[in-house]
Amino acid sequence: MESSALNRVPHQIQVKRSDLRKSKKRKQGFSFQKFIKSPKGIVFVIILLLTMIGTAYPNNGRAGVTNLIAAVLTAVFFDFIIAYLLHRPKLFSDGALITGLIIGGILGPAVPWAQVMVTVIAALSVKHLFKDKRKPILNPAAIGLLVSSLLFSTEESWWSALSMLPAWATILLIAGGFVVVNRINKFPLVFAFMAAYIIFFAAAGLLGVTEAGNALRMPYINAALFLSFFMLTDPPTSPSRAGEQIFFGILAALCAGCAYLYLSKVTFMLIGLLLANAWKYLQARSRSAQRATMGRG
Amino acid sequence: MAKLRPEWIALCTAAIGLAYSAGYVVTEPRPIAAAPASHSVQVQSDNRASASAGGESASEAEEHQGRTTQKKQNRTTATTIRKKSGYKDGTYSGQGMNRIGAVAVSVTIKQGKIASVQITDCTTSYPEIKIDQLPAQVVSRQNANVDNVSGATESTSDFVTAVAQALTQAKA
Repeated sequence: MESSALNRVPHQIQVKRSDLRKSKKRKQGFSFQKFIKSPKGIVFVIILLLTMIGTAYPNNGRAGVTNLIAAVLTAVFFDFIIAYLLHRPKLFSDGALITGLIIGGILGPAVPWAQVMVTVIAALSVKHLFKDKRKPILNPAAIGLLVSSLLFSTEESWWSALSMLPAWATILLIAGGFVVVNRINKFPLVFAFMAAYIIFFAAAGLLGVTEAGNALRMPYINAALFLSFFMLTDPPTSPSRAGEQIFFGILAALCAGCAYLYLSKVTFMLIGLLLANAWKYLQARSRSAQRATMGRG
Repeated sequence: MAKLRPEWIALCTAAIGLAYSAGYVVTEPRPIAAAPASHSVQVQSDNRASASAGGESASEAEEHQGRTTQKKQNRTTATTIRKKSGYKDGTYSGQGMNRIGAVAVSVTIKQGKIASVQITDCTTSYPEIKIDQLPAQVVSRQNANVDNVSGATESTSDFVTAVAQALTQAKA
């Protein structure tokens, strides 16, 4: 009896191991239903819908769609390679999918597809290189677009933000943005950013700064809305506490405003976003350092 | 963090909407005053009209569709001779403007031909160097039909509008 009992134990272990393997496989597998219900899935669907509407602009045509496909495929393939090389269980990266979609929808349709691919690779390289506890420090799409602008002076048309369509189309952008922001609970950030952005440029206009008013008009205002809804609110690179969200939004808007006046009228919003990302990283670091000190004490 | 209540969302949206409206109004660009000795006209039209006036291709006219162009007519100097080409000798200026800024040019007509084109002002988001090759194209082709500059589509269309406007004055 004893020997039979002993024989049963390895069998049970074997069964458990096979179950574990199956469940691991299940975890590795990509579930579209699960993805679509997740915040990233909602962001993907909303941006995809906006992009489809954005193709209504006659100039976008095939070139815009080609660039978009090039961006998405490059992003997914690049992250697949990285995941494979690092032996990660999940080979498909939904984050890369969204990064590709954002970059493809921001770069102008006239931009050569090779430059679009380089932009995506730059974005994802920085995402993997600069991390804080497995989370990216800087918004990948923003850093990729900034690098691309510095290297190739790439045109940014923000056509996914419906900036090339009539003004009424902006309502669709706002509606889609609200759905995403409500899901990820980032309204304080978005409201703080938009309020600070509008007040900054209105004040600059009142003080006689030429071209300040352009920032409140299409296509800039669409770009600001798109950035606040889908890029500023990126959970890994933005704070979650209400107070910090408000500060983050105001900081991003003020930095963007100063960058518009003194640096670049193309990349000013990206600069604002990246500086706010850097502040968030420093804030998180100082908090964890404080915790460590308190733990020792 | 607790979710923001719907009434707060509505209130904040309305407040930002109001601030935006106020900001939009106070930053409304003022019309530029005309120089006393010049013949100044401000026209708002779609680019189809301006494109056809400048002799652009249909595809370019399509590209400009839907964009508002503000036109200025300035300083038309010394002209009386009308040549076969239909251009009167002299120096003409034009400006193309859209949502991202403006490009101003000065076109010189000598013996009824486009002798030189100069970019006198460029306030678009992209640097002037991006469209530096366009004046030479206008001179060699003797019309406003230039190649589109990849990465500076809006600046190119501003330039085309400005040249077309100057050439319209030269034809008048």
